[in-house]
Amino acid sequence: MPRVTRWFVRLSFLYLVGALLIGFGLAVRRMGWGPVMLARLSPVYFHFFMLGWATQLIFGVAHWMFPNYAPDAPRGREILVWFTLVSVNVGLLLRAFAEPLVGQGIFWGWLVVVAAVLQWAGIMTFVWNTWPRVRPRR
Amino acid sequence: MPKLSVWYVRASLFYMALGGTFGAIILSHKGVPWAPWAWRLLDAHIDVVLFGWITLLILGVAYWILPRFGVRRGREGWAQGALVSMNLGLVLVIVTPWIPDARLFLLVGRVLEVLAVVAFVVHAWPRVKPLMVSTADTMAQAAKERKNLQGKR
Repeated sequence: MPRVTRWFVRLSFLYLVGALLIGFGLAVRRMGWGPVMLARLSPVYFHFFMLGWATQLIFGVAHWMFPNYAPDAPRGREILVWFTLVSVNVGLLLRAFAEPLVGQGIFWGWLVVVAAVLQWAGIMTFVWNTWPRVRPRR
Repeated sequence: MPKLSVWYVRASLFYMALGGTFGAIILSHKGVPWAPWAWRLLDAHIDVVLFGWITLLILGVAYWILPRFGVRRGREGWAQGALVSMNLGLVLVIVTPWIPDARLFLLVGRVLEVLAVVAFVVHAWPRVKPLMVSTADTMAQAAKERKNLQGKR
């Protein structure tokens, strides 16, 4: 298993735990307990689950198992996949902190914009590197 | 990877890029409003990510790796139909918010998505079997092909 895949898989497990903890927090808020801010974590809950857990697990396994790109670079340009890992995770974590605080000042709004760009850039670089590896048997 | 799986997986990568772009537009607009039309993308963002990215990827890889019948993958036409139906359904869901009074498009789109999944289930159902059955199938198919070859000689 390549090193970057191990990072993707381990981080995906952490996001799964994080998503379920936020889900617990949302349920607590529905009971009328805890800070009102908890209710604003709903989009973070979905995105920890879909992007942090499911998509990152797929990224890691796809990078590991998809057909080789070329004998000298079997998994394409590894640097792009490392960029995906960093960009998606920094973007997701920024989002988790900033999104519930949108409306409390322009700083948080711009932080959300940065989070959106980072997540998007990570996804695009993964597509860029993986696309040529998806091909019929030679 | 068989050709049909290549189509499935490439479509899923395309939808991930599209779904990610929709999501980035919505999120950035939430942070600093710049695109008043951004929230119209929400339905498409959800469908494209759930069905276009995750579901098509899973179906494409399942078509590739589920046990086969000798050299064939069973009812292949159903898997081809599923890909076409899912793509048509997603296109309808994506265009709905941009066409006035086109709520019917959303309904038809969702029906096509359901039909796609049903078609894939029809294809894949007989391929979900234990290894021994799968091996016996493969051996029976190979014996049949050997017999045919001998018959031709």
